[in-house]
Order: sequence, then C-alpha cells, then structure tokens
Amino acid sequence: MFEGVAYDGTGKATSSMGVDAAHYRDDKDLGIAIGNFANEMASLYVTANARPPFVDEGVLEGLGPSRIPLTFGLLFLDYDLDGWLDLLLANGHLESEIHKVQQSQTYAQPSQLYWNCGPSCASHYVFVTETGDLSEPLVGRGIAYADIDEDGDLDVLITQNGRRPALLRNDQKTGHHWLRVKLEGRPPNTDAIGARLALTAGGVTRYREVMPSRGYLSQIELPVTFGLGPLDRVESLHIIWPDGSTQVLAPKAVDTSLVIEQAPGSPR
Amino acid sequence: MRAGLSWRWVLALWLAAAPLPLRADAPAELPPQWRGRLIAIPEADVSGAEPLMQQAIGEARREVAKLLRASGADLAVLAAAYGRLGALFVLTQVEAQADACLRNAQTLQPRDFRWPYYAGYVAMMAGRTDRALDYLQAAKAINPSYPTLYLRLGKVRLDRGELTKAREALEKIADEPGLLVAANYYLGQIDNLEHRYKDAVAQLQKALAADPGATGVHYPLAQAYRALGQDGLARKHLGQFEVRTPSARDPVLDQLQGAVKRSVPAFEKAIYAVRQGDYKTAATRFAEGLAVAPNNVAARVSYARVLYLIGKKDEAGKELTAALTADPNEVLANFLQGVLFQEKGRNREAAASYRRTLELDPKQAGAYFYLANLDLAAGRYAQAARGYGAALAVDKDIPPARLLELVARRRAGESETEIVKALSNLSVEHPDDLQLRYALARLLAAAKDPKARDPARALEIASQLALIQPMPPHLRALALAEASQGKFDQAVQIEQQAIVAAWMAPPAEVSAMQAELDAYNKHEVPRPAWPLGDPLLSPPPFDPVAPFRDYPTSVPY
Repeated sequence: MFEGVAYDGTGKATSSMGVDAAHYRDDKDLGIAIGNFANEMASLYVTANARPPFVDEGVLEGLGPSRIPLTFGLLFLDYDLDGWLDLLLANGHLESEIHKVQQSQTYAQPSQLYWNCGPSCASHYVFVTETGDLSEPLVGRGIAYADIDEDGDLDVLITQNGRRPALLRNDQKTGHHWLRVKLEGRPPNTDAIGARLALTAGGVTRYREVMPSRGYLSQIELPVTFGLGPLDRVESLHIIWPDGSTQVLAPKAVDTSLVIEQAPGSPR
Repeated sequence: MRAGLSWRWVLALWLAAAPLPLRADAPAELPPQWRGRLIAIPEADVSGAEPLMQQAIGEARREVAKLLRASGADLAVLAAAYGRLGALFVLTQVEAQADACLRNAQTLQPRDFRWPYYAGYVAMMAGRTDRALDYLQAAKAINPSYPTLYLRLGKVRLDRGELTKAREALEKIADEPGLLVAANYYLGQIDNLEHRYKDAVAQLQKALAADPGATGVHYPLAQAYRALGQDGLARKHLGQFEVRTPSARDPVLDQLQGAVKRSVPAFEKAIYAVRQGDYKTAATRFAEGLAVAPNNVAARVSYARVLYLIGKKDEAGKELTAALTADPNEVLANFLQGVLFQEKGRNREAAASYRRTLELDPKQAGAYFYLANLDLAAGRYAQAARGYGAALAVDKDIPPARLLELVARRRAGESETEIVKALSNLSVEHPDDLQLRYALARLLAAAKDPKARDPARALEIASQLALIQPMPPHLRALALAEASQGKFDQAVQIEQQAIVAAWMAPPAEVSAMQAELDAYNKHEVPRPAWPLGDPLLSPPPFDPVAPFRDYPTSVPY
C-alpha cells in the first residue's frame, strides 16, 4: 500500500487476477500489469525514475478506458519481434449466464492484444484489432507462451474454464530478426531462474529476466526471446546470473537459439 | 476479488431471472406515429428488484405507454416520462434500456440540457467513456454555463487519460463552491500521473482544507508525499484514508433523481458505493434512504449487509432483526440471519433460519447447502444427503454438493457398491472435478466391501490425479492405491513425499498422514476409505463474509 501497488490511483481495491512485471519501456522503470474484474480496467503500476511509489498508468499507457472484460491471465511478450514488450490479456467471465443480468458482459470474451509502439507514441500500448483466432471469445484463465513451432516467434496457450485450451500459433510475417537465449546455470539453480539479461542491438538495450511463473496459474517457457526488429546484429549480451556473477557475450548470429552455460568462474 | 465480486448481490437484489411478459406494451412496440422517431424500449426483467422499484418501473412504463398512445401528446411531458423511466433503469443497471430512454427524451426535447447531461452521467458511471464524452459534449453545446458539467467532463477525460483536457475542464471549477473539493481531488490525481508531486500536494491539501471529511483525498496525497520522499507524511495520510469519493453539488442530477422517488437517490448512491467496494459510504447512504423510506425492507437488508462488511456485526444483526420484524417473510433476511447464527456457533438457530428461508422460498440453493453442511457436521447424514440433493436440484453448478451428497449417503449407510457406481457416473459427467476422482480412487482402493474395490482402477485414477496436481491429498490417494495392490514400499515412499509437501497443512492432517505411513510400514491398508475430517471429503470452510458480500451467486459456497 505504501509503495502504491495495493490499490488503484484513488485508493480503491481492484480484483487482481493475473500479474506480470517487465521493463516494458526498456528503461529502468518497472511496470507491473494486473488483470482485474469485469468493468475494472487492467492496472499498470509503473515506477517513476526507477523509484517507488508505483502509479497506475494503465490509462495513460493506452490500456483504457475500456472497462468491459474480466481478465485472468496476462503476459508481457514481444509478439511481433520488434523488440518492445507487448501485452496480451486472456479474458472470460465467472458466470456462464452473466449476459442475462449485465448486458455488457458475456461468459466467453475475446483476448486483448496491445502492441507496444515504443516511445514515439503518446501511449506505449495500442489496441490491436486484427488478431486472427486470438479474437475468438474464450473463457480465458491461464496464459502461457512458448515457441512451439520453432520459428522464433512466440505462440500462445490459453486455458479455459470447462473448455479445451486454445493453442494459438503465431504466424506473424514481419520478417523481424530475433535471438533466443536459454541459460543453464550452476546447480542447484540449473534453469537460472532469476537471471537478468540485457541485450544491446542498434545502440538500444533491452532488459529481460528468466522468470517462468507469470500471468495466472501459469508457467512460460524458459528460453528468453529478444525481438530485434530489422537489426541483424547484436552488439552485446550481458547476463547477471542468479548468484550475482556476470557474463558478457557478443553473439555472432541472429535468428537462432543460443544455449549459454554459466561460466565456471564467472566474475561477480 | 473482494471489490470485483461485490456487484453480484447488488445485481441479485435488483434483478433476477423470471419469465418476460407475453405481450409487448407501447414503449416496446411503438405506435405507428412514433416508429422511426423513437427507439423501442424492450421489456426488461426486473422481477427480482425490490417491490418499490418494480412498482415504480411499472408505473413509469405505463405512463410512457399512455402518452405514446394519446394523440397530440405534449413532447415535454413525454420526454419527462422517458426520463423518469430511464432513471429507474439506471438504478437497476439495465444499461441499454436506460440509454434508449434518455435518447428518446433527447429526441423529443433536443434543446433540453438535462437529457444528454444525465445520459452522459449514466455512461460515465458505467465506464463507457466514449459515449459519456459524446453526451456531455452535446450537453455543453446546449448549456456551457452549468459548472458541474465541467466536473463530469474532467472526470471522463481523466478516465480516458486525456490529462491536458481533463485539467482544462477541472480548472474552470477549481474554486467553485460545492465543486472545489471534487475538482481539486481530480486535479491532484492528474498531477500525480504527471509526476508533478508538489502541485499534487497543493491541490489535494486545498481539497482537504475545504472539506476535512473528504477522506478519499488522503490516498493520492499520501502517494504524492511518498514520491517526494516525505514518508512520515505519506504514512500519516494513509492512516487517515478511507475510500470515499468527494461529493459534488449537482442540482440538475438531484432534480431528475428526486423526481423518481425521494429515497431512491440515496439508495442509488448506496448501490454505486457497493459496486466500488466502498461499504462505509454505502452504509451512510442506505441509512439516509431508510430515514426517508423506513419500510423498504429490501434496502434494510442491504444496509445490514454493508454494516456487516464494515465490521459492524452487531448493528448488522439488529438491522436484520428489524427487517424480519417488518416482514418475517423476507427470504434473504432469514438466510443471512442464519449465517450470523452459524458464525456465532449457534447452529441450532442457524438451521432453523435456513429452514425458514426454504419454507419461504424452496429455490434458495445456498440455504439448502448451508443446512446440509450443518447436518453433515452433526452426523445427520440422511438429512444432509437430502439437503445436498435439493441444493443441486435448484442449482446443478455447486461442485462441492455433488460429492458431499455421496459422502453423506455413504455415511448414512448406503452400500459402497452403490456409491462407487454413482461416483463413476458423476466423474464421467464432470471430468474436470478432481475431487470426485479423488473420492473414487480412495473408495476403489480401500472400500470395506471387496466387491466395491478395484485396486487397478484406483491406481489408474490416482496416478492421473498425481500427475495433474501433485498435491499432498492426491499423493495420499496414490499411496493408498499402491498399498491396495500390495505395493507397500511404493506407498511408503509416496506418503513420505506427501508429508514433505504438506509442510503448510494443519497438524491434524499431518497426523493422519503419519498414521497412514505407519500403516504402510506395517503392510496394512489404512481404513476407512473416506476418513472423517478429510478436507477433500468435507464442506469448504465456513466463510460468513462470502454470503454477506456475494449471495446469491451461482457458486457462492
């Protein structure tokens, strides 16, 4: 409460379903996105100059003012590999016959995808209307991503309440370059959970973290995907391993997956 | 989830499912002279609304119908009639009908400020900011000098993230008596969003100086102080914070709402506060409304509910008693009184209240369920089984009741073979209900009656459960299934895993697991298959807050 993440900007409690956190502006400010109940906007708490308190900038960043869906899982992911972390919300109501008592609500609700257009736009997030099967109404709950077809972009799995999960293959055709990184840490944390990565390409540094438990009752894949946009060269990849040791690499190729083992005596 | 779910019982209070009338009236099927000019207002189902509200809607609708049928109706009179009907629909949250009524009023009196203004207010409250902005701009075109209009415009702009325009609107009324507090409250929020924390402090302090009782102002003020590094002041203001939106003078709105019924504006504000999770304000508003309309029993029950939710349990009990004195047949009051009794451990009185509830309304699934839970706990198994069955007959979507009915039937003496058969059918019908599979696995593994046992099937089910959710109860079921096949070493190993994983379990559960482990070590299958006290074979823990906040819902228990 003291740091500004307990309530909305006016001090009212929200429903708080799924949660994800990321440096979605690729700066030092951390954003915490939270899915809320029907008629409550998703929250996006952001630090100011890397310091608390967090302020809910959901509306300012383009997530509002739509307040219709009931969001469970939500994830930051770079669906178009342009380097910026987009935001995907899985929606679905609790009540199967909600439309009988609240006209604006339905049980199954379309997922919502927000494209991060970077600092050149007034708001970072822009609602995406053409999303293919992603726009089909679902009774969305958990949400996870992985590159299931190994084409470099991230595919999405959305679980539903009482229905089959929806596995949505990402067929984006942007031609953007990418680099996937799987970290192998020293025992006991061999998955390197908690490791932080900073990739610099074209003079811009992108920050990511190995943190698979995200969204709502869900776990994403372990490899970290960096979208590179039109850039076909990476200047450096800086890794801070969970034990605090660091490693700096200069990947030679893009559009590939790297497996990086923690160096035995990597410097702290 | 707390605030988000609070709308449920509000809706349930005002709305409930019921058959629609068979014949459309004039507002629904417009007379020829009005077709193409006005929007038809379909019948809305308001049969679950409190009686006064149903009556008011019926009267307002009949008035519109009469005017529509009359030749040469006065447009202003017809517009006012639509306005009244729209205002009532607002209170029942029938948004489409409310909006259509107000649009008709606007069509009939396009130069009347009230209609677009009120429609804009309604849309703003519903979070439909596009529509709200359109209506409020239309109102501004008619009368740009109404000061409160700029408060509404500023709020809508703020909700849309249009901070510059929001500031522009709010600054027009920042010193206006009756609006100063609300305007500066929103201006302070804008400053916070723009990271202009010193300005935020100035605006919010100005609001507090004008109304020290505007406790909602303390939260954004605390945020501003926190950002400025003045943590002591931030903590002080957080300590003074209570959810309460500053009030604003709005004679146009009051006039329109007052035309509906004197008590209704207070109840409307109360309901709105409930939807926001602001139970303190709701309690104040319900009390104001009840001062005008003391015989409104449904509102008194709602008052009792919010009193309970703000921790005033004794007062809540008194209001329920008052409601029941005024109307002993008030269903919800009887039910909630039962919940209060049960919370105090007065189970006999609780059961009597639930029974009374069911006498009055045999469709109260929650009362059946709660009563059955009491019967089960008291060892009245046959009664409990009938109760769960009755709850399911009313609402088939109460997953715990499905299994608990069978648990009660088994404890009442029904054969294990019959129970296995029933459970197998239920498991097929509800493949996602893991509790059913858990119960079935245990029974197939350790039934007393050898004819009911099927260790291979038990192992298959328990293995699936442990794979889907490797939590301690599922591991216990798997250990039991292994033991039922004579594989005691595996049973010991799995039970040990379960004990390690159950580090947060209550001591009684850990003791039960230890006893099972001892049995496996002695190469014995622990019995009974369904031990008393197994949390997965028992009712969910009693939580009185849930029914006070959410009942009735399809799955409140």
